[in-house]
Amino acid sequence: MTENKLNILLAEDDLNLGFLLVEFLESSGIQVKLYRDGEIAFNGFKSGDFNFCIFDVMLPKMDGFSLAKK
Amino acid sequence: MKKTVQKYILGFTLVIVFALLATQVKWIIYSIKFQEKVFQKSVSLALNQTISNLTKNKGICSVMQQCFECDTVKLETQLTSSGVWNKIHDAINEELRSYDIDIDYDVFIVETVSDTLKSIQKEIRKGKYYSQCLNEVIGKTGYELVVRFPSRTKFFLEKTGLMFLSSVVLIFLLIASISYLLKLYRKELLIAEHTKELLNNVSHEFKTPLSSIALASNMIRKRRYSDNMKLENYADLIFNENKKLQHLVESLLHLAAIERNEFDYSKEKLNIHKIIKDGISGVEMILFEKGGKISVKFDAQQSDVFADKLHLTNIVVNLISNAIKYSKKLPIIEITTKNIDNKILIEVKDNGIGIALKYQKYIFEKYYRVPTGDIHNTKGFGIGLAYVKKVVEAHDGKVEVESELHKGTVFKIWLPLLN
Repeated sequence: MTENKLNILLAEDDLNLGFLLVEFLESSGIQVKLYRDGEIAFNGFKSGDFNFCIFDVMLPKMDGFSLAKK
Repeated sequence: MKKTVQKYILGFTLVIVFALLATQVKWIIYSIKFQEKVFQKSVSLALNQTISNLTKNKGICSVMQQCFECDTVKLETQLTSSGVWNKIHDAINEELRSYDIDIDYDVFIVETVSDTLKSIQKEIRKGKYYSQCLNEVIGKTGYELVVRFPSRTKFFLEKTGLMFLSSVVLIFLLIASISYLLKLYRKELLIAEHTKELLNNVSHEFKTPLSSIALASNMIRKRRYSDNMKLENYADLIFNENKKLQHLVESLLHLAAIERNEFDYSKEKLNIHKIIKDGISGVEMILFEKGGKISVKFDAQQSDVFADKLHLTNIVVNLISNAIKYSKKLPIIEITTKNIDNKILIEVKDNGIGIALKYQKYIFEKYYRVPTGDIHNTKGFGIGLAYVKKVVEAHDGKVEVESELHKGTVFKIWLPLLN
């Protein structure tokens, strides 16, 4: 992780959209970490250092709202 | 409308109905009293007129005067034998009828000084007896003509009873129709809520593939790809997402068909076991992704039914998909069949999250989705089970659910066998 790059956590269960978002954001010079469900995303959030997070509302295991609250 | 407002309106309506009931009862009591007063007035007028008529008839007067000269013990015999008693009766009868009083009555003459009168006077005061002084007819004081109506109470009840009964019936009908309207209103409210939820779901389901297509095409447009491989990937993605959209539109059209009750069933001889196997192969991919297992146990000896292949396969797919969708652990699904009477029973059992008892009666309703609180992690429009029920019933079958929260659910479908 380079210091000057934005680091984002992305939680999206739709793999196609997730993959595209990652590609798009990375091509814009932003570093993205993609998680498929709420629980993994929460664990990833605890272990990582992110500038901000983007959650889908409908997520397996834990929805976006609950994840944001947590 | 908020629930509190609803409660206030309901309370207000009930208060109005009870106020109406109270007013009605008050009016009925008032009416009975009024009838009594009219009756009393009519009888006293009739008696007055009778005395006046008797006074005018000199023949009757002289006979009566003669009778009243003799012993009071023999008075009644004398009056009867001389035919006067009948004439008095006739005169009273005629007058009462002119006042529309056509009920049985007793007539007697009492001495105002005798003991018998004292008790009668009490009753007269209570309105049970009606009396008129005989002075002018017999030319001396101390005698009264008394009339009593034994069926007076019945007469009043007959007159007011019908009114009372009709009031009670009408009020009862009013309460019944209000509660029915309330039930309908609640149902409409529920449908409105479900429709809102459906719209939310639909827009979410459409947004995801649309966003993917927008993003992928944007990447291609701005040439943000490193090699042809990536380009192909984006193209595939657009193609697949487009397919997803088509599938969604089909689902919505399907939903519209359910809404309009427009289904064409082309029924033919089908083997349920084959339909189930077809259904399973349709969901194998999703099941494989989730790492679940599916087992079948076909105990039914007879498994031929007269049904629509497409719809029947759809309902099998629907039930298995639900079993996969609503499970937090690895889905283990069991499908069994058996013959009961002239029917085949198909059971789809899962180890999923289960459905709480209080929601079980609603799950076959259109757009209904079991509330999950703030958890928005299962996609769907809430039409699958409504469709299952519709199809099963169109095949003269029935569908039931047995479920325990956190343990699993069993859907039971009965279909009549082909004879």
